[in-house]
Order: sequence, then structure tokens, then C-alpha cells
Amino acid sequence: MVVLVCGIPEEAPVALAIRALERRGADFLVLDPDDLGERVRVRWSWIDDRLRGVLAVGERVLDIDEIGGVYLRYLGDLTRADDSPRAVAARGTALALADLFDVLPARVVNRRRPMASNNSKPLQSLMIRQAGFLVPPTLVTSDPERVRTFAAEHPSVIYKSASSVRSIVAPLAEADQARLPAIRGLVTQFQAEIKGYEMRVHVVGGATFGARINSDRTDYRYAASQGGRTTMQEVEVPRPLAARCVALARALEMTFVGIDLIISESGIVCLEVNPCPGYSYYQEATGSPIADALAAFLDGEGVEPPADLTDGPAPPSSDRPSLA
Amino acid sequence: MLLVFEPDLGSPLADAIAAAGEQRGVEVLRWSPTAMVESVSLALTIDGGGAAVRFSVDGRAIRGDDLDGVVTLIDGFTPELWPKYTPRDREYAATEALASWVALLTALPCPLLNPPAPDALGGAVYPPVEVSMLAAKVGLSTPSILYLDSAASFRDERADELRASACALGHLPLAEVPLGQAWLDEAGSEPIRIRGVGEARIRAVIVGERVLEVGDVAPPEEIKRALIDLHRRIRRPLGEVWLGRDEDGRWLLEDAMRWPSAAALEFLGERLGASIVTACTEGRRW
Repeated sequence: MVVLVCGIPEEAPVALAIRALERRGADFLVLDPDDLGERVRVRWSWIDDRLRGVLAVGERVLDIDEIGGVYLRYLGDLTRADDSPRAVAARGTALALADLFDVLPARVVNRRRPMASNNSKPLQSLMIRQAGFLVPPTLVTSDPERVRTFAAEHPSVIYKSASSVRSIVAPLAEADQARLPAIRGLVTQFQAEIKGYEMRVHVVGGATFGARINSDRTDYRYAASQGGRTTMQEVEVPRPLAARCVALARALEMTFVGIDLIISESGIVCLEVNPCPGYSYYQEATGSPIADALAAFLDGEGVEPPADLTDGPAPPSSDRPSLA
Repeated sequence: MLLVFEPDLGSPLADAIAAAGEQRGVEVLRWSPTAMVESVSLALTIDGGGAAVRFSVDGRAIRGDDLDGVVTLIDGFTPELWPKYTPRDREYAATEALASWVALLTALPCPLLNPPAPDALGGAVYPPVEVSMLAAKVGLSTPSILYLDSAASFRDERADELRASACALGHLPLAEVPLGQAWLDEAGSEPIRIRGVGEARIRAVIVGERVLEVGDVAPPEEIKRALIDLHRRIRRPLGEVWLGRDEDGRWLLEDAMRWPSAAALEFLGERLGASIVTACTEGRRW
């Protein structure tokens, strides 16, 4: 079976995955968004309840049945306004591939629809909670008075984007109180800051890799640019927690995720699940063999993906989760 | 109490729902995106005790538990709703508002027509082939779909070469499909549907567990059951479907839309509004 790697070959997560696939001698092809329009051709069909098709990458021509795994990191900016023949061709190829990967019976890491849960962080919190994890007390509001009440109930409050637009997590400071009326037209997400240490758990199929994060800043990703410091160390994920992380990934219909946890005195709190993790940052800091696990999973090793196609997504419920 | 999100105040389907609600003594609140941004104060709390939703509008407080149902006829917000912001901030505001309202609607305990998707308040939009695969699981056939990577790659080729490539994918009846220049010109990045479907057509609106036929052709019972099953799988309790008949007499699901069309509303009249109010007040979640 053939593995497809969709992404910019020089980007660290893609580069690590390519090297890992090479190390294991896997049969793989790289689909670089920069030359999708020139080097890649795809034609496929749904006829008589059956998928059929052909994918050509350079001189290599595959039946789509030969595709066993897809690392779907990036297919290019499909919204870019560029009407040059090259860009039009690339967009057409990318869209045909994206639709194919939604339904292809292969290990697609990850499919588009499940990845979209990250577009709404509070929605994802509801899903995480349903999967049995604690989540930080959260308020999404356009009412300044509710923010004041919330802030009074918790020792420390942070605010961050509700969407997948990347924002620097910031503490709600005394000086911010004067700016609160600005949220009247712009609903904003606030969370109680959870004290403890942060942990990133990468789930790859049924395998887990833990990284303990020590930082002197609220958002450890930006510590260096804020004059702070972040260090990491590889940690073994305790078996019960590993099982819960794998179950959470499955509940969200994904097989490769980065789960952000805080280990606090009151329990393990899940902040969010990253559906397209930039795992290289953690692998380089801890030495965890995440890329090898990813390559092995794409190449057919380990547990099967949870489902080839959903029978419709499971709705989050407002039931109280069991807090293990 | 029902809450209807409509693109603009006075949309015909919301009018029908409001009229049906009034007949039954059910209050119907109607909010447009402008009202949602400018007049509605909202709060979603998520904590160890669960999730709770509260609205406040014109000094009136509404809890999520007060709502019997929500009908969402919009998908999101346009950046122009924040005219005082910079262009970049407008885009951000629209994205944040969508992300917040998606979670807020999901946290409501009442029926949602339709439940939101992460990127669309009005429910998930499925690519045609995904609908086809799910339809196959419930026993519904669909027209064949052919995906080409790009029109650009075929523009310089002759039509018979294109026909040959498509036939190579196994679509034998393709020779019967006229593949003229117009067809080639249409061959963009969108999937091309090879319908092969005759004129006889079923049109129907799905509302919860009910199938309301639009027009003279009634769906057979097994098709009705399959349509309800399909809509349950895609979590779409409100939608409109079109089916056509192929040369073998099979009904093929040609299209599945999230909202009833104006033509369906015109045909069904009060029945449609009444069915939506019933689906909400029955209290069943999809």
C-alpha cells in the first residue's frame, strides 16, 4: 500500500514524517501544494455505490485502492484569489483530492469534518467534557457584567479566541476591566486559569507520547518572544490517562491529535485537542519518536482507525460527564 | 417558546413558522444576524455542573431551558456587521461570533432544526459524494459522480479523450451523456454529476420524522423511511430532497438541501410552518 504525504516538504512536521517513512522503507509519495497543478492528476468517481479512480503523481500512476494512508497536513490555500492557469489547476486538484480524502477507505490523518471541531473552541470543550475530561470553567459572553462576576468567582481568568484563529492567551488584568464594554458587540471567551503544570499528549492511532511543559508564561508557545522561558521533558503517559486520551481522539473521530492538558491539584483538565498538531516542536524538545509512530500508523501498523465514514456525527449532550 | 434565526427579518419561512406558532399559542422570537450582534446579550457557561445558556434582549432574560426549539435559517455572520472595525478585525469578529454561537446552540437542550456544524450554524454541508455514500448505507441510490482534477487540465484535450478517461474509471453509460464543449467548459473544480435521470421527480421536505411531498409524485414508503434514516445520520431534521427516476425505474437521490425552498413553502403553505412547530415542540433532539 502507498502512503500519501500532503504538505510542504520543508515544513518541520512534514519533513520529519518523510524521514520516518524513508527509515522504515515505506512506499510513499509527497504531494507538494506548490506543484499540485503540474505534477499531480486525479480523476475519480462514485458509480454504482463504488469509489474508483486514478491518481498520477509525476510518472507514477496509482489506482486509488492502492492508497493505504494519507497524512493530510496541507493542500494549499484554496481560497487564494489567483486565476493563473497554474493556480486554477492546483486548486482543482486540491479540491478533488480533499473531497476524495473525506471518503477514501484509508487511514486519513485526519479527515476534514472531524478536524473542524477545532473551529469552535467552546464547542470542542463541550465534546471534551462529554468524553469524560474536566474542562476549565468557561464563559462565552458579550455581557461585561457577567465577566466581572466570573472574574470575581475565580482567582485568575484568561481570555482567548473562541475560533481557530490563533491568539495569544492572556490573563484578564485589572487594567482590562475598563475595556470590557467593548465585548458588547464581540462575544468573547473567558476561562478560569487552572494552576498546575501543562502536558501535551500526542495520540497516534493507539500510541501516546507525553511532554511535560515548564514555562514562566501563561502561553508557553510565546514565552521566548515575551522574555520568558519554556522547557519540556518527555514523560510516560500513565496507562489510564493514555486510554482516556485515545478514547477522546476516537470520540472526536481522529487518529492523530495533540491534546493539551493541565495536571492540577483538582484533577486532569483538558484545554483543547489540536487536530493537526505541529508535533515537531515537541519531538525536537523531548526526543519522543512521534514521527516514527505516525509513519508506522500511516503504513498500516497498529490499531485500525475508528471508522471509515461516520454514520453521522455524534452530538455533544449537556449530560454531566463521568469524572474518572 | 421558539427561536428562529433568519437572514433578514420577514423571511417567508420564518413568517410561516411564526404564524403556526401563533395559532398554537407558542411564542416565536425572530432574530436576524444584525439583532444577534447588536441587540442580544448572551452567555454560555461550561463548568463541572454542565452547560448553561442565557440570553438577554430588550431587558428580557431568556434561559436556554425556556426554549422549546430553535430553527436556524442562517449559516453565520458577515464582516459588514461590524462596520466600525478595521477590515481585518471585522473578519475576526465574524469568525469569533460563528464559533461562539455554534457552541451556544449546541449546548441548548431543546430540538435544533438543524443542529449546527462547527463551520455553519444551519448545519453541516456534505460534499455530494459523502451524501451518496451515506445514502447507499440506507438503501438509496444516487446518480454517478465524476471528479476531475481541473478543467484546465482538459481544456486542450478533445471531448472523446475526456470520454475515454471517464470510461476508464468504469462508467459505462457515459457514452450516452452528451459531452459537448459546453459540458467541458463547465468542468471546473466542482464535481460533475452524470445524472442519467428522467423527468419524473419526487420533491419532498423532511421535517423531523415526517416527509411532506411537494408536488404530485408521492415517495414510496420505503423511500420515505430511507430519507428519514439518511437525515438522522447526517443530523439534518429539516431539509428538502429531490429524487429522479433512471431508465431502469429506480429512484435516485439527486439533491439533499438543508432548508426548504421557496417553491416548497409555496406548495406546502401552512403545513410546513405547522410541521416545524410540531417537530420543535415534540422535544426530540437529533
